[in-house]
Amino acid sequence: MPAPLRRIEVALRKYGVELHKPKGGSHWLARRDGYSYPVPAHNGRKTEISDHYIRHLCRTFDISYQEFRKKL
Amino acid sequence: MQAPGPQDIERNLWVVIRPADDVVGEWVAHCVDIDVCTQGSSVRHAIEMIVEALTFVIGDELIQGRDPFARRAPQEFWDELRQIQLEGEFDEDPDSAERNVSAIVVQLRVRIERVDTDITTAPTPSFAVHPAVWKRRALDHRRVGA
Repeated sequence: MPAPLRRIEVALRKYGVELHKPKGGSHWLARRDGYSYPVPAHNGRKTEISDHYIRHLCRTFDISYQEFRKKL
Repeated sequence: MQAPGPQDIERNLWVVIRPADDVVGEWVAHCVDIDVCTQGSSVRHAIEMIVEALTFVIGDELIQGRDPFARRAPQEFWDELRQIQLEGEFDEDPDSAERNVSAIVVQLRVRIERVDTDITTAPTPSFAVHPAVWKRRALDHRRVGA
């Protein structure tokens, strides 16, 4: 199941991961503890994020995918 | 591209691109060499997006004093890449790859100019799609968006 970026932004915040919107480009940046990961945002907060990407995102920040899905 | 200087870095990066199972028309791109994932609205857009994502990650890792090439994806993704290469067809036309494919492998060549080891501003890597490494796998013949 995909999820819009706005819901992912809210869910990430619960894990201490903040999304930052850079001045340019089509990605936002998820940051925590000095580590960053680009998040596709080519349609802004409406961008439908594929479940495939969400799994990668969870792995990057060592978040349980199953728990994360419950927060979406 | 000019010849690399003594402190420049040049690397080839493998990228696996797949149609998103759950978002019609979207393609998910995963660079296994640096373990970065993103998505785009076509194969070409997915490549543009992974280049942008890699540009950020490489620059950020270097500023933080880390080796961006130490962020390799887990072995399972490399095994998957190898499997696609073994079973896939060769095709140099990226646009034709959007029809009837389940995965695409493309190789990017990245060049990072480093003028100083004490980096305080992000370097801007330059990327090129390798001219002869398009692979495609037509196993399930899924027609995206149909």
